[in-house]
Amino acid sequence: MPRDDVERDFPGLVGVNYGLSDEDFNVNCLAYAMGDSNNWWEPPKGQGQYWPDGFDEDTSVKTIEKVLKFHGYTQEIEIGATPTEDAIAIYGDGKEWMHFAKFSNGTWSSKLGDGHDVNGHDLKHLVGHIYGGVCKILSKPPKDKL
Amino acid sequence: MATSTKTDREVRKRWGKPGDLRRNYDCTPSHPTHKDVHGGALLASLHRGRHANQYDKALRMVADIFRERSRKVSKRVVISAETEKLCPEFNTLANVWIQETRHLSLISQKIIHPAYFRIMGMGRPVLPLLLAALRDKPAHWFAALRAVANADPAPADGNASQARQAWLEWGRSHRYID
Repeated sequence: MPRDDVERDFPGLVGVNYGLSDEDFNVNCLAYAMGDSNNWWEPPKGQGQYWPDGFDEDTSVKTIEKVLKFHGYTQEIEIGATPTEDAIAIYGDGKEWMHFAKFSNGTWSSKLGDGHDVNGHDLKHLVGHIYGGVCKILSKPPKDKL
Repeated sequence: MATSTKTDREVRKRWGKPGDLRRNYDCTPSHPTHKDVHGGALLASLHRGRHANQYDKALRMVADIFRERSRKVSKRVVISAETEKLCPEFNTLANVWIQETRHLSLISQKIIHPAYFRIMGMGRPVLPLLLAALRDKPAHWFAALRAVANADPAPADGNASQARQAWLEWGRSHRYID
């Protein structure tokens, strides 16, 4: 059962009213957060993986911050605060990223590996040995506020 | 009452009684029966045992039929005994790998799982099992396939679905999978 599988890895979701999409092995959490429904975002580029040109091919939080800022996620907000604009949360161990969640239309959602999208979770629900903790949240101010 | 000629006796000594020719072969549906040889007319004529060279002619025809059949059979998927032997262990390892890595966000983390390494270590005989697994449920088996097959038919800048399609076509053209 999909929910059993998900909750075995993320016990924080037990008892939470969340939604699950179908599985899709074409995209990962970073692609999902970036709104790309066709590519698996992971360095290095090639062999079924996409990585934007012009950025270091590593999985450091430092590099992904540059990628996110390039795509408009320029404003860092406090961990634990609810964003008022679209935002992306970076999970990891502080140095390397392990997962991303997207805040849009007032709710958090994310894609779990090559499995399901989980909609309506809280950031703390996915914290654990697989994704580590939330280490940064970057929001995307509307263009007219820039 | 018909009497046996000398040629008859020699032929029967060499080939047995009429009908034995058929019994000497496995007549399962994948093998020719006497009906394949002009509806049995030729073999029926052999029953008369008049000419030894007719046996040779019949045998050549039967050999041609076998050759044609084996050519057709060889187009089917052939699973080696070695592959069959690996199947239970492969299934166990594949399930462990899927269960324990399905939620990881990085392929580079997925493919360093010990179960994945053990599958790659099975070598070329595991290829049909990997391809069948990819056919039955999409998963990131591509690194293992590249390593085991020493090939990469996937488009360089394609996504996972395109890579899957390319590998399945490769597997079918090499007769590893249906």
